[in-house]
Amino acid sequence: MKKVWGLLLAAVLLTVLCACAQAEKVLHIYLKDDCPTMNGQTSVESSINTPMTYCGATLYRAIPTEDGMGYEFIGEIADGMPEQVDKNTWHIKIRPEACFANGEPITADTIVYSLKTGLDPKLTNAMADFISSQAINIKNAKAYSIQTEAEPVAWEDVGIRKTEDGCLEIITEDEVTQMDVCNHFTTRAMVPLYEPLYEAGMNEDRTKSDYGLTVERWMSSGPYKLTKWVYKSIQVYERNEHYWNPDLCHYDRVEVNIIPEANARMEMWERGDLDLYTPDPSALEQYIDDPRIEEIGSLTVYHIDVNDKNPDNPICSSNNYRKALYYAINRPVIAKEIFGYQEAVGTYVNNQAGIYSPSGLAYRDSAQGKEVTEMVESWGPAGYNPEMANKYLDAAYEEFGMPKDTVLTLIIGYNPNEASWKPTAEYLQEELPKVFNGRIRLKSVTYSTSTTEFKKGTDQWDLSPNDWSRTLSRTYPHAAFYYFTSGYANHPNVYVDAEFDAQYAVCDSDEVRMNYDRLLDETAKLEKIYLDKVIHIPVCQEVGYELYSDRVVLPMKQYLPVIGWGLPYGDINE
Amino acid sequence: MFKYFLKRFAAMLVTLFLILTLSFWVIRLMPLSIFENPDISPEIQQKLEEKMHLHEPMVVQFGYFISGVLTRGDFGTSVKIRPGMDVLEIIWERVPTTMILNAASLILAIPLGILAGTIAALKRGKMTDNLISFLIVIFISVPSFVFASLLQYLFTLQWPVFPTLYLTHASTTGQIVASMVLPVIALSLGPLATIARYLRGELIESLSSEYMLLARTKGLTRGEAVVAHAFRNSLVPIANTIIPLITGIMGGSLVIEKIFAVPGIGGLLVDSIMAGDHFLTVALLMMYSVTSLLTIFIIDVSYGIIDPRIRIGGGQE
Repeated sequence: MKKVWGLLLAAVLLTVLCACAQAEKVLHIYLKDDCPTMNGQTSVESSINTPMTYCGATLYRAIPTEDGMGYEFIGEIADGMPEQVDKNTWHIKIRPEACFANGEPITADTIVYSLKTGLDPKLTNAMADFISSQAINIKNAKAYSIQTEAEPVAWEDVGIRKTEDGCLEIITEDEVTQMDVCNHFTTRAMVPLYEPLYEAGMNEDRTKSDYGLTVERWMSSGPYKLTKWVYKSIQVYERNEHYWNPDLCHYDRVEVNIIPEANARMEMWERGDLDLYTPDPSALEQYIDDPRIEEIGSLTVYHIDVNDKNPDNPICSSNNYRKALYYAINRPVIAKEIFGYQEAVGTYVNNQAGIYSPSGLAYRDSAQGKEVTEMVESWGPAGYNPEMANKYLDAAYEEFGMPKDTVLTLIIGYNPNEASWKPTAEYLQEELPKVFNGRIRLKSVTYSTSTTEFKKGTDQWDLSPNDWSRTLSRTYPHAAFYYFTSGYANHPNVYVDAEFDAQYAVCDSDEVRMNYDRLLDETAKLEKIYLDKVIHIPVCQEVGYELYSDRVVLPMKQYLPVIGWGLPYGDINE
Repeated sequence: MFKYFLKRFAAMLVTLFLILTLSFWVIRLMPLSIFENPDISPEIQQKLEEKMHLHEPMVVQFGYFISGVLTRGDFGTSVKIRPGMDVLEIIWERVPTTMILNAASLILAIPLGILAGTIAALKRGKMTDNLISFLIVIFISVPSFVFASLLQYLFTLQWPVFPTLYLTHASTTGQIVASMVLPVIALSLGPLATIARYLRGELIESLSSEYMLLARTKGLTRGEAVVAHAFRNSLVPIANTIIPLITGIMGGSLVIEKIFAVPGIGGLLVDSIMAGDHFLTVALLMMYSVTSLLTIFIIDVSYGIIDPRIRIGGGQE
C-alpha cells in the first residue's frame, strides 16, 4: 500500500513539475492607440517604441545593470562599443551572428541600406531627422535628406559608409562622446530594414514602400518576433529563435492589447488581465495610495506662452507684465488638483535632463540646478507669489503711464480637446482676477488646430498653454530651451530675447557641451535669464504613474528613464 | 420602371461627384498643416508637403486628386493613420469587423424589436405595454455608450462572464463569439427600440381599423386577424426604418467600438479628421455618402415598386 501511495505521490509531483516547466510566461500589456506602422522610419508616433523595443534590434541597446540600479549600453547588432578613429570618425563593428527573424544575416550593408533609405530625399521619411541629427549630427546627412536644388548632396558625401573590413563608419559634424554614438543608434528609426520586403513594397517612382504596414510586410530582428498584428486590436510577440542573445529576455510571449478606453483599461487591470497599468488622471485618486504604484519621470514641463505682440494689449511688451503673470500662477493647485498629482515647478529644465551625461547627474539634482530651484522657492511655492505679481503689474502700468486701477482683459487661447488645459484656463479665469484684485480679467478663446497653427494665424492672444517635449534632451540640459530661441524657425512662441539667445549659444558651443560641469554652470545662467525675462511660464513637471502586477519580476530596483523599470527584461513569477 | 431606375441612378452619381468635390475643398481648406508636428523639422515638413503636392494651388491639387479617383480609383495614400497605405485598403481592412458586429446586432434587434412592438401593441395600455414603452424610451433616449459601459462593468468586472474587449485573437471560436456578445447587445438596443416603437404605433392603428373589424366578423380569431392582416400591413412602413439600418451596417459606432476596442470603422473618420489625414477623411466621407445615397436609392426604388403612383408622380413632375 505504501508503494502505491509513493507512486501516486511521485506521479502527482511529476505532473506538477511538468506543468510548471511547461507554463508559458506571457506578459500582458497594452497600448492606448495602435502603431500606424512597424516601419520605424515613417511615423513619429511614440507607440511604435513598444514593438520596436521587443521585436526590433538596433546597433546598441540600453539594458539594466545586474544590480538593478542603473543601465548600460551593449552592442546589439554592433559587436562591442563604437571605436573613435579620429575626432569625428567612429567605427562600429557588426556582430557576425546578427540576423533577422528569418535567419538572414544583418551586415554593415544592411545598416547602410537602412540608413540611406531612412534619409532618402524621395521617400522623405518623417523620422529622417532622428537618423541625421538626434544625439549626434551625421556629416551631411540632414542636407542629403532635405536635398535642395541649390545645394545637392550626393550619398557618397554623407558620413555613413561601410569600411573595407566590414565595419560601419560614421562621421559626425561635431565631436561627440561614445555615449552619444550609442544613444543615437538606439532609436527606432535605426531598426534595420529587410531589403527584399522593403523593395517588394516600393512603388514605381520609388516614393513610398508599404514596408511595415502589416505583419507579413515587416521583418523582426529583436529578441521577439511579431507574429500577430490585428490593427487596433492586438500585437503578439513570440520569442525569436534566431536572436543571438536569448538570455536577454525571459517571456515566452508578449501580448499587447490596444485599449483606447480608460474604463476598459481599469477594468482589465482589476480583473488581473494586465501586468501593467498606467492610471489615467481621473482614476489616479483611486490608486495614488496603492503600495504598488510607481512614479515615473518625464521630459515634459507644461508651460504657458505669453504673447508680447498682441495689438490689443498695451502692456504686452513689458517685462514687468510678464513677471507679474509668472508670479500670479498658482502652480501647486494646478499641478495637483487639475493635472492630477503632477509636480508644480517654477523652473523649466525637466528633472531628466542630464542623466545621460558622462557623470549621470541630472541638472536639477546638481548644485547649480538646485540653486535655481531654491531661488524660485524663496519667492513662494513653485514661484507663486501674489504680492510680487501685483508689484510687477503696478510697475508695468507705471512703465506705460497707465493708472494703477486699469482693468485689462487678457485672452487665453487653448484647445478644448486638451483635457487638462481646459479646466486650467477655467481656473485661471477665476483665479487671476482674485490675485490682481480685479485688475486682470481673462477671456478664453478656443481653437481646434494645433497650438502652433493658432499662434501662426493670429496675434490676438495673451496666454496659451504649451506642452512641447521635442525640445528635450537627457544629455544636454540646456537643449530644453532650444525651441524658444530665435534659432528655431518654427517655434510657436513669438517671444524671443537676444540675451537669452546669446547665452544659449554659449551653452551649445562645443567647448561647453563637452565639459559637463561648465555646462551645468552655463545652463543655470541660462535658466536665470529665462526666469528674469519670463520666456514663458512653467507650470508643472509631468509625472507618470504605473502599477505592475505581482506576477511580474522587474529587473530594476529604481526607475530610470530610457529603460524605466526594465519591463522588457523582466520575468514572470506565478 | 427602368427609366425611373436610370434617372435615380444618374442623380445619385451627380450627387456623389458634388459631395466628392465639396468634401475635398472643405477638408483641404481646414486651417491645419497635415505634417505640423514639433517632432518633424520644418524642412522635412516642407519636403513631405511637396511630395503630396500640398504646396501647389488648390485647383492643381484637386486636379491630381480627381484624376486619380476617376482614372485609377485611387483616393490617395494615408499620411498619418497608416502612413504609406492606400486609403481604400485602410477602409476595407476595418469594414468586415464592423459589418459582422452590426449584422449580428440587427439579427438580434429586428426580430426582438418586432416581437416587443407586437406585444406592446396587443397589450396596449396594460402593464406589459407600459414596461415595453418605458424600456423603448430608455433605449432611445439614453446614449448607447452608457449601456455599453454599464454592460462592460457588470458582465466583465462584477460578474466576469464575458471578455472586456472584443477578441480577434482568441484560441477558440467560442471565446471570439463570447467577446462579441456585449458590443452586439449595446449596438442592438437602439435599433431594437426604434423598430419596436414604430411597429407598436403602426400596429395599434391597424388593430383599430375597419378591416380588422371586418376580418373578425368574417369569423377569424383575433390572432389570425392580427397575423394575416394587421401585422402584414404594419410591416410595410417599418421597411422605411429597417432598410437604413441594413445599409448602415458598414457605418460602425464610434463609441461602442472604442469602449470594446473593436478594430472597426467606427472611430476612423474622427481619427482621420483629428490627425489631419485628409485623403483618408475624403475617402471615408465618400464611403458614408455612397451608403446613404444607396439607402435612399433603394428606398426610392422599392417605393416605386410597392406603390406605382410614386414613380408615375415623379415622372410627371
